[in-house]
Amino acid sequence: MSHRPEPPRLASGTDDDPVLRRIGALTRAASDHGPLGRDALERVRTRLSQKPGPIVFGMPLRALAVGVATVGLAGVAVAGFALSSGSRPKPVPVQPAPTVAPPVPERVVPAVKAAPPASVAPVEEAVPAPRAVAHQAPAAAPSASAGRLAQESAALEAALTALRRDRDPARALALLDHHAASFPDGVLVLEARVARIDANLALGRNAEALALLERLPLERVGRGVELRLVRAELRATSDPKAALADFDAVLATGASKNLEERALHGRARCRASTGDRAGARADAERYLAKYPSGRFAQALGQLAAER
Amino acid sequence: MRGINLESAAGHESGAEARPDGELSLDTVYRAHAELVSRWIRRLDPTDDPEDLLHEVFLVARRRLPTFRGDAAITTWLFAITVRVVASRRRKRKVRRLLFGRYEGDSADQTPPATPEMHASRTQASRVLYELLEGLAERDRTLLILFELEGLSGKEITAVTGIPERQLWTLLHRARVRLKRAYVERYGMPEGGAP
Repeated sequence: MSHRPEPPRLASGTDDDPVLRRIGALTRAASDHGPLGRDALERVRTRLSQKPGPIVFGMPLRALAVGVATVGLAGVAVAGFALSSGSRPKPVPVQPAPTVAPPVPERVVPAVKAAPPASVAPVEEAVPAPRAVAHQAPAAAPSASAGRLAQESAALEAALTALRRDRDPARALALLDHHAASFPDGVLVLEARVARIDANLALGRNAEALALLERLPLERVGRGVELRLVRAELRATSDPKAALADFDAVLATGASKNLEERALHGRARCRASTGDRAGARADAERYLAKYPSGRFAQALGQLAAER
Repeated sequence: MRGINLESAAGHESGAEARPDGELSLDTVYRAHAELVSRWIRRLDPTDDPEDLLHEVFLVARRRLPTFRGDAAITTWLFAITVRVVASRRRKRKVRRLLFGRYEGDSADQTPPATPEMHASRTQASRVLYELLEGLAERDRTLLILFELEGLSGKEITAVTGIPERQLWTLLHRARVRLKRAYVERYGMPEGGAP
């Protein structure tokens, strides 16, 4: 087959078509945004120097804070239901006190509205090995995947609707099973896993939720801070050391007020249960100083008063 | 206009020295090429967070680096990763839009200018152009950016996208037709232009 010659660029302004000449003028004028500055490059280098995995917060706190991605959009909305349904795990079951984060309606809708840049799906699978770079299938293949993506989105949306609007987590789980069977390598697999966690929490299946959370790459999903906190709360009795690490990590992120309250309360309880009474008192006092009329103030007031 | 220049970069591996065991370290690659990659990122998607994208590109590079055998220039390899990371991220945004009916990447001002010529500045020209590109399929968009904005040759585009060179110009032609259609839908035919 004879190769067609390389066409002239639109920017050359030589095209016979007046519209393409106009577009060519735009391409000539379009600014080159240039590279990132030295500081920004150094910030990214620092992030890269941190180990992947549990570091979650070395990874873009911003990406976590804002990174609700599809997961966030879907999951946060679902979280509203899960929270308001009272099915959240008990922060630390040391005492019966406020175990469930009360409904936080402002987290539901606004979080969806504020949905940030997406966390990126496992792109590396799509990246060709260097040797084959020149012989790969088309890079993004968006046209081939567009229809399937729409189908997958619809499947996940059905599950989320069952969970969020119909408040039927059992049906949501069935729909998530269908999604998993239909799209085992789907783009929204991580999002579906988060929805499954929420559904299990809504059903009070905390052990199942924890098992799913243990396998979830938190650094790659939205709601990473919140999900880490939920994992800490679920771990508090069975593995207080791991729970404390999660609480520490949540508190190190400058989490939202709602999450910080829960994390401080959870860590105080966890520390108390492991015999770290000084640490527990310090958390209780920190909580009371910041949230004197907070939802855990009474319980932590008693803890702070203990000598 | 042209900035990627993969051919010259192919022979330019300065700073990308190997470790004693013969393997490239990520930090070495990063120091040598991060600035260039960040430029590509901002060209491919000026609306996204370039730091996050740069981080993502090098996370992928870190995972893939052990398999890099030097058959292609490392810049070509990095550029292929960059194109895919950006495309993946954009797909995710589209999924969110599908699911939730809004698109966070939309610019605040959605009112099209009366004519593109009213926006003669470089920044405004960029905005007009990227808004037109936004409505295209990802492959069309990528091809047009690589060829028209970055000035890559057909061989280079093939190297980073995997699209066979024999199909490239046909696909580019179709992408131009769709871009033209998007322009006309938005701005109408320019004066003197045939309908």
